[in-house]
Amino acid sequence: MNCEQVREQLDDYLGGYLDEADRQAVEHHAETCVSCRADMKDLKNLLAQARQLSPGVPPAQNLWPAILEQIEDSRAKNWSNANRSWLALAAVLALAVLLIPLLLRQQAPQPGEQVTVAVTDSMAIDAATQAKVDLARSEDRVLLVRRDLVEAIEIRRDLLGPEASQSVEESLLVLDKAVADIQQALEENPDDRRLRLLLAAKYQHEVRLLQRVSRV
Amino acid sequence: MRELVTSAGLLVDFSDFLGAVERQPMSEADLVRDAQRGDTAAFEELYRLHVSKIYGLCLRMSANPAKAEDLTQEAFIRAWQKLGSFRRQSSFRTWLHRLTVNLVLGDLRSTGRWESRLTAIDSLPERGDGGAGAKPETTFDLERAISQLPPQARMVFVLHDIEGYKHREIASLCNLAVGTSKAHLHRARKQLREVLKR
Repeated sequence: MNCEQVREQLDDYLGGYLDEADRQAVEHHAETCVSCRADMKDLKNLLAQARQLSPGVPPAQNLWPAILEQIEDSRAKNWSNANRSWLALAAVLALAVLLIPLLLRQQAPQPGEQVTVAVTDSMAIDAATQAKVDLARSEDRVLLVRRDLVEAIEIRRDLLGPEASQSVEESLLVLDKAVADIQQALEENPDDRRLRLLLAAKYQHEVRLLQRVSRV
Repeated sequence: MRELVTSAGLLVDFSDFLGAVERQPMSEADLVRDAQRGDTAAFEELYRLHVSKIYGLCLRMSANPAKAEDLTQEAFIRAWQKLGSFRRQSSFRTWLHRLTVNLVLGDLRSTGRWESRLTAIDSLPERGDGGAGAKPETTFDLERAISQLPPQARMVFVLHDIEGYKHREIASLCNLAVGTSKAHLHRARKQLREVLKR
């Protein structure tokens, strides 16, 4: 390497970007060239001074009050926007909850009652099978609501702010638990009317939680 | 006095112990967790822990104290707004630092000061933007000399030589080619060394 080539490589040399062969070539040249050695020394001196600069510089004034004021403003706006969104979602859920008990009452057999539902002209299913279908539909509905909820959170995560996001995530966990309960109930006793009513009450409880989130 | 009867029946005054526990500062992870739950007091603690570093970064990158204050405020406000998306894959400090660098770069772009220098790399002024008559002190004032560098050279120097970023990272952050980042660093160092010799 000649002086010009070495000077072109000095930045990369000191930054550790050169491969072994080039690194050795620069060092070998610097050992024999006073001018390049001086350049290297200057550059090392500059970098040492840069490293010694204090990483922190305190601002001349306390910026926190202005930051807090803007945080509170943006939080108020976010809540307002979030409320509109969550109230709409809560309304959909509330409608679903109102429909579920109605559906369950329509389909639930009274003690001793034989219920059959005509599905086609040539086929009928009994009440137990229908109950399974109803619960499966309810489960599907909860999963759909959950999916919408997740999408809404992902879209609005930046706008919602940390507190709202946390509340929503906790509500999602509750919904997850409800879905798990439904699946377990389905497996254990699909014909138990009281159990199905209990599940409907559970849906209502989840909705109240979500409504509370939307009203905070 | 707060007392506790131990299993051995001894009466122990544990006021000092409780006081020590109460004075124990919360870890940064705890502060972040609480701030993510909407606790502005926890976020204020995070602000106090990091404001000097963030302001220092903004000041060196913008070379303008008033602008640096605005950018610092904006960085913390954005951090609050995006805190819900912070997933602890990096440290809070690194996350906040990245967010601030992006914010300052965005500000420079939006005000046109960045682009105006994109085509001017080969016409780097000998003494930078604020150089008219602004000879550094006899005892070399590196901070002042850095502030006199043109925006892109200053940005690359601050990120590489002070903040420890690599060219690949700078190129990605600043939307530059790696070679361009290296060229800016070379020019910045050259200019600073010349100032240092005066």
